[in-house]
Amino acid sequence: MSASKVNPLKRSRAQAHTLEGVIAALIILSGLVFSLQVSAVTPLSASTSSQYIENQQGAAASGVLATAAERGVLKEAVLFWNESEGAFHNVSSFGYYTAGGPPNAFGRMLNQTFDPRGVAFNVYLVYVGRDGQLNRIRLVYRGAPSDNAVTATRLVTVFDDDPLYDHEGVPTAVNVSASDTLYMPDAQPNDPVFNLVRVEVVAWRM
Amino acid sequence: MSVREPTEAVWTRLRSMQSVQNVRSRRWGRERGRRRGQTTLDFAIGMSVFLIAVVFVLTFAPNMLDPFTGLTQEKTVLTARVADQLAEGMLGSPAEPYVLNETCTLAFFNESYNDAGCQFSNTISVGQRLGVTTFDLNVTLERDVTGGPTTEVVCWDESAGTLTECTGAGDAWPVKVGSAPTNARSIIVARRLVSFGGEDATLVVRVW
Repeated sequence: MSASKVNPLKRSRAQAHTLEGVIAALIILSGLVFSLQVSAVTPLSASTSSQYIENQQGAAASGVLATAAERGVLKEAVLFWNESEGAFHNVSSFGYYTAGGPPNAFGRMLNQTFDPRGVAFNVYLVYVGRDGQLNRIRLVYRGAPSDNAVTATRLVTVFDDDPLYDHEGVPTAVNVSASDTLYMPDAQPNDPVFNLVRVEVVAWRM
Repeated sequence: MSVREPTEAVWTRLRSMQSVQNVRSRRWGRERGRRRGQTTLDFAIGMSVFLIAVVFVLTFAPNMLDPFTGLTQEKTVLTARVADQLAEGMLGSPAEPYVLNETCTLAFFNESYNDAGCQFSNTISVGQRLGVTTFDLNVTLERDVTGGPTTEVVCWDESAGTLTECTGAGDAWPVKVGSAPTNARSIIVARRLVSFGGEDATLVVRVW
């Protein structure tokens, strides 16, 4: 080789450096992608949609309904009706409660069970309508449930001589059979049974 | 024009250009001069991206293996099973879930009570009663007595026959059974709302 000094302006190895850089970046990226793909997500992985959390919320909703029925406050919540206004006591303008449970013992139990955990809930009342079809109204509505919501239901039998309750939970003198504005009709006019209400509690993690 | 060997004059010119290059590269590069097309800022960005990727991969490497070792998932399923077993049958009647029988519940939490007619024997340990042998567990009955966001363990007052706040007065004993939880491992918690003596309480099962 006659040239003793390399021309400093001629960079003959630039291409190799770029290729090495590209390959190194590819190796890092493939390591990252591999680790992301290998991580397995199962129904029990820790996330807001884990099966365990759904089971727990379902059991909590069932427990609330069973305990409320045991204490007798579930029927009070179903008949928490303001006869003169034709709506539930202290309800929002929509006709259902939006800021939590109703202002009675059942609502307090719902709030205590679900609010500290960041769990939202809806409560629906399904009853037999005048034409024999099932009608459903909202008692508490806090938005459309997510895909991982659970439902617990309980059946409440309302008799003809059950009284309506006022805003403090005290039975009034008006019976359900004597009420004109109650949301549910008398499904069995010749029976002591007034109607059957299925209370549905839908709970989901916010 | 053929490529000629640079003459001395050309070399002097080239060297001066190189010194100019050195001056320019002194702003971004080292004093000795760098001819690489990479500034310090490029290096910093590239190295930080690389380090973030490496740290991310190393952090999530244990989580990758978690579904395959199955320890956390086993504890989760176990806790749910124990809580369901207690709330829906063992402490009450399976025909009325979440409603606890007072005598059997007190016998479960305290060995000095009689467990006749209950579905368990309170002479054996809690783990054996529930079929949990590989993990430690703790079962308590709690209620929100302080008005705060969490529930606290309640005490059973035998003379009054009710659940009261644990103030240490009288002979009220805290309604809990099992070992004390350690801080070493992660604790799986299951809560069930139950009815005890006409009032609602929370049954809490902790497994670690």
